[in-house]
Amino acid sequence: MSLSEEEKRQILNSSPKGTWTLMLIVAAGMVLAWLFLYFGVFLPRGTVH
Amino acid sequence: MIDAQTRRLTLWHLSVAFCAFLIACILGFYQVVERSGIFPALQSAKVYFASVSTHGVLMAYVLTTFFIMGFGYYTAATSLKRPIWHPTLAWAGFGLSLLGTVLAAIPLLLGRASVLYTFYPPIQASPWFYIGAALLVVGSWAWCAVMLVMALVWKRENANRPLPLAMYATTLNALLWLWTSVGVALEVVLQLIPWSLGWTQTIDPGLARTLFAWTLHPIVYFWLIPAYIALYCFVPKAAGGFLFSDEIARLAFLGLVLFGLPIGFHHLYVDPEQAAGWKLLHGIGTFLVAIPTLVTGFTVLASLEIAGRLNGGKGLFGWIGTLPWGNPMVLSAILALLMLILGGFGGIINASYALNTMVHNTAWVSGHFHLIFAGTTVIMYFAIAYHLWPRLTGKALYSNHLAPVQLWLWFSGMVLLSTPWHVLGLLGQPRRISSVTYHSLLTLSWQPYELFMIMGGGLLLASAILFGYLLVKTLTHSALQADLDPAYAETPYPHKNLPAWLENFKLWNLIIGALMLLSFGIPIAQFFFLKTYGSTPWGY
Repeated sequence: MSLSEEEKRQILNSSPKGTWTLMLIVAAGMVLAWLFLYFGVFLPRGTVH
Repeated sequence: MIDAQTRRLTLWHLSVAFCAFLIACILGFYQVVERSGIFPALQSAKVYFASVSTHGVLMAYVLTTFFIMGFGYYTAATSLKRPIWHPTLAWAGFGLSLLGTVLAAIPLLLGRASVLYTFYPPIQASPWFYIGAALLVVGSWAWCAVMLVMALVWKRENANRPLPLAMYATTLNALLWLWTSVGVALEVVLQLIPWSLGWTQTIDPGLARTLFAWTLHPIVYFWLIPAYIALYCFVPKAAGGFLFSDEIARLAFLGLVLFGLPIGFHHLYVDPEQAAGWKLLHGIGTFLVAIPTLVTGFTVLASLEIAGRLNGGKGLFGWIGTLPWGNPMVLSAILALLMLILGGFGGIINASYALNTMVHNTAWVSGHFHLIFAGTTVIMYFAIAYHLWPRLTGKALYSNHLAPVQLWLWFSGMVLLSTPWHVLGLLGQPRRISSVTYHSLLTLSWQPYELFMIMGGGLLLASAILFGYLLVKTLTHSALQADLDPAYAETPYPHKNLPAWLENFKLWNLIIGALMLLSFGIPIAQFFFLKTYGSTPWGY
């Protein structure tokens, strides 16, 4: 599919919204996974005996 | 057009790298099968540790060093558009590194250097192993010299133009490697070689581990930077688009070099020889180095988004489907980023002081570094090889259909191998063990995961063989093709005024020196003014 010059210009000048969204999803996933490991796995194991 | 000298240099370096890789993959598959305990006839701690040491050395030092040197020569010649400076020095470096590899390989294969790739004392190896390792590193310094001189000469002749991005990153990587390798070089030359030759009776493992920590983390960025060069410089064009931002890419490379060096003590969180304050300092640095990695993820994804939209993709995620998934460079980038997300998360857990105690010295750590190194890094090495091979040999890639199959096999194998490895770590399986069959309830619960790991290892070996097959077939059976251009990506708009300080390598050297003095000065000096005790050797 061929794009017009104006469409190409718009793509090159627009903010990468999909990338921002993916980065937010990944960052949120990492925070949640970290919290799960800390509160869900690490703390329940208790202290060393 | 690449000159014949550069072609030969690059081809020889990459050939040595990939031969080492194939041998290491065979050993890796043997190890995952042996360790499972499913085939009792294979059980042998002696053979296992000789194998795992050879596997680690071949992958971490031989594959990487030769690949990075070869790719660096290609990058320098094609991005600066000039022949390699002082090819005799470059070949001398190659010869020295190869001699070192052979010298180290003999005791490794004879079981007289079963010290793993970290070779932590007081486990002792044959002196030939340490001498070989030292020569491999010294040979790579010749490469650093060639890269730095080429960059500086070009810069002197083109004072008003920025270094091409690929060469900027290669120059920084040469600088990084010079700084990085000093730690292990000091350990090997001043401690390990005299000790293994019997000139000294004891060794201070604390000092040795501190010096190795100097090298152990930044070496990961030495391995990763060529992968990032491909992500920034080849992927956007292969996808049909542009690099989102050249300036951000340069800042990311600079950040990797600055923050990657003074952080090695996160490998020593549980060691007694360093105080908690130093570990905290290095821990903070470890979190800082995640920033250039996140920036890289963002910039590469944004470049892919531009390409996907130029290919007709609409909506928030419609551009993903319009990317050329069959292109090995693009496919590798996507799979590499996926593994970087998973491996990066593991790295954040390792860097977290409390959580580190949960995974320290467990199978989790092996799973983590396989995901980052054998996953993200090596899959981009494949992509670079597929990109370079036709340009170096003058022949079309033997099969454009089998290359993506090979990459999917590698990705699937790595996920199947490393996911259970992480879980096993959380279940308490130690790393650096040759057998898991203790016949207790705990170890019985590990068995299903071991089976998945064997399947993963099998897929990885199949992928490695297919990779070697494609390269050899390209050399021997493919049709000749016209010269291809290096295909470096461009930005949508040329940058106008790149800040001069970005290329002030003297300044960055001084800053790195100050950071290293701050983070390693007292931790190393303490061994000379505190009374510490040496250890006698044990090993072969």
